[in-house]
Amino acid sequence: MTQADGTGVRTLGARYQELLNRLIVGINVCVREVGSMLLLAGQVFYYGLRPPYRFAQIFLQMRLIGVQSLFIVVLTGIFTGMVFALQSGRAFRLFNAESLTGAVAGLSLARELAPVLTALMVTARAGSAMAAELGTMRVTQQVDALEAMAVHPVNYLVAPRVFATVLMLPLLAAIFNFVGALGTYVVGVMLLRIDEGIFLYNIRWYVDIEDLVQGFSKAICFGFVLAVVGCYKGLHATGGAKGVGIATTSAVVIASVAILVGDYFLTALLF
Amino acid sequence: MIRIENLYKSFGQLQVLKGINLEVPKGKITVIVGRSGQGKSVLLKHIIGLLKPDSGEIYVDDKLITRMSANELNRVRRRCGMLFQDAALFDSMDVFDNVSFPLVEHTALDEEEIAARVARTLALVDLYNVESKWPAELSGGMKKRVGLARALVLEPEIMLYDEPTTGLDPITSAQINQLIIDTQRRLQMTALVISHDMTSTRQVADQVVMLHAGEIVEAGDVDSFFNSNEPAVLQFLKGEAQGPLGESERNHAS
Ligand SMILES: Nc1ncnc2c1ncn2[C@@H]1O[C@H](COP(=O)(O)OP(=O)(O)OP(=O)(O)O)[C@@H](O)[C@H]1O
Ligand SMILES: [Mg+2]
Repeated sequence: MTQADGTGVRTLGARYQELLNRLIVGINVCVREVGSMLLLAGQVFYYGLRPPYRFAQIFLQMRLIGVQSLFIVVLTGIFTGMVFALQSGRAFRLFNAESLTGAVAGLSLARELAPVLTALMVTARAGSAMAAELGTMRVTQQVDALEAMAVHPVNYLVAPRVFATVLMLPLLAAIFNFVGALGTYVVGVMLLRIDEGIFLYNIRWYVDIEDLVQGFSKAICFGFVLAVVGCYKGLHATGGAKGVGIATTSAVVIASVAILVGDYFLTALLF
Repeated sequence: MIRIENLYKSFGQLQVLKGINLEVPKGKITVIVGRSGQGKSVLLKHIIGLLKPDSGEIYVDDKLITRMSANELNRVRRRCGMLFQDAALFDSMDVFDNVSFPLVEHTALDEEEIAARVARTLALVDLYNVESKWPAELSGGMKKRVGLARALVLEPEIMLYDEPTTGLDPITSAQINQLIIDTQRRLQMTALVISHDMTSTRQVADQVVMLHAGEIVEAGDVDSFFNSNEPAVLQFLKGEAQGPLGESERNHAS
């Protein structure tokens, strides 16, 4: 009886120990990974802001990232605005304040929804593509070939993608913002029959330029993060098609989490 | 001249290079032979700085490249050309953009001159009217020759060829061998060639080095290599299944 208890305690101790070990290894890997990503972020400025400047590459990436994300951004923007108006309009109606619907939706869109949701959509659309493309280049030795020809991969591959994303994301967020507001207007004024004059007046009264600036600053940060993460995961892909798949998935997961967590801290610290 | 001193490299548990010492003389063709999976490509990638050794040094013209900054290393790389074993063409670019890439990056030539140089270099590897094809549309041997053209287009001082004739028919192989010899003579190039092909080794080599199990088992000029009494070399030359190379491969695996 006592003997059985003794072994029970021991195995529990051993298991606890093993769990602890795994946790330590996990944290170690995490810290190292974040460190390497920060290093890459630094290299983007070091190698990206010196000649040769890759304007052609930047424009190409702007087209891939910006123009091709336009449709999903418009689509998600409209529906986000519409559902937001629907929900908040109903809630405000409970205490006869539905005229505030436009203002609340406008504020939320400008500060949070436009930058965050745009960044998430672009992560899914373009961040994943960066990881897959650079990952394929890595595992088929095209990155090695680039280096062997004395071209730095950060200068040629990473920096143009990061710069293009940082340039395009605020624009896409602005579009999201606009069509989102349009969506709120459609639902608020046409469906919930809120008075048009008051609806618009409240949007203008409550939504300041500062709210827009806050949203755009966030969009710039998120764009930087999602592009760096996508490129990092691609450049560090190993082991064939499966490795590229893993790199792509983890790029999307890490970037999305970083955007949502970063959003809180940006809001709390800066605004 | 390339000098390699005490080079060690492991991938995880797998020790690939175990103390390589080698001098590649300037203006000569050195051929590295050895069985598959013995670290020949890994050695080549160290010379151009794509892999960092665990320990040991590599000098290119008395400059220590194993501890250089990225910018210094790129200055050395600009004088080198490398043909990858599986060509490593940029698959998002057509053949023209692949071959012209080094010219666009590192010279100030205008478009006309670049087009002329690309066509001339492709003709050297016996390719015509392929400029607008994509790498995916090429055969394995054509890819290899496009890779060769891309490596040669800048007329580098140092050329690293990873199996330039593997996968080519005998006639094209002979042409490529002749090309290696001709360019080396014309440009006084230092060339390092990895090869499995004993006929072409005899044809192109000034010096032959044999790599096995991460060590150099024989190094010397062509004649002394092909007349060597070293059992490993004899087995390799005769292509026998039994012998010191086969045995150590088994030991290696266990
Ligand atoms: N990036 C890498 N990661 C892990 N192991 C590697 C890596 N590159 C090479 N190896 C291992 O190193 C050993 C030597 O590989 P290498 O490519 O140099 O062989 P090789 O002599 O060129 O053979 P082959 O004639 O078939 O091309 C192999 O066992 C290979 O599995
Ligand atoms: Mg090889």
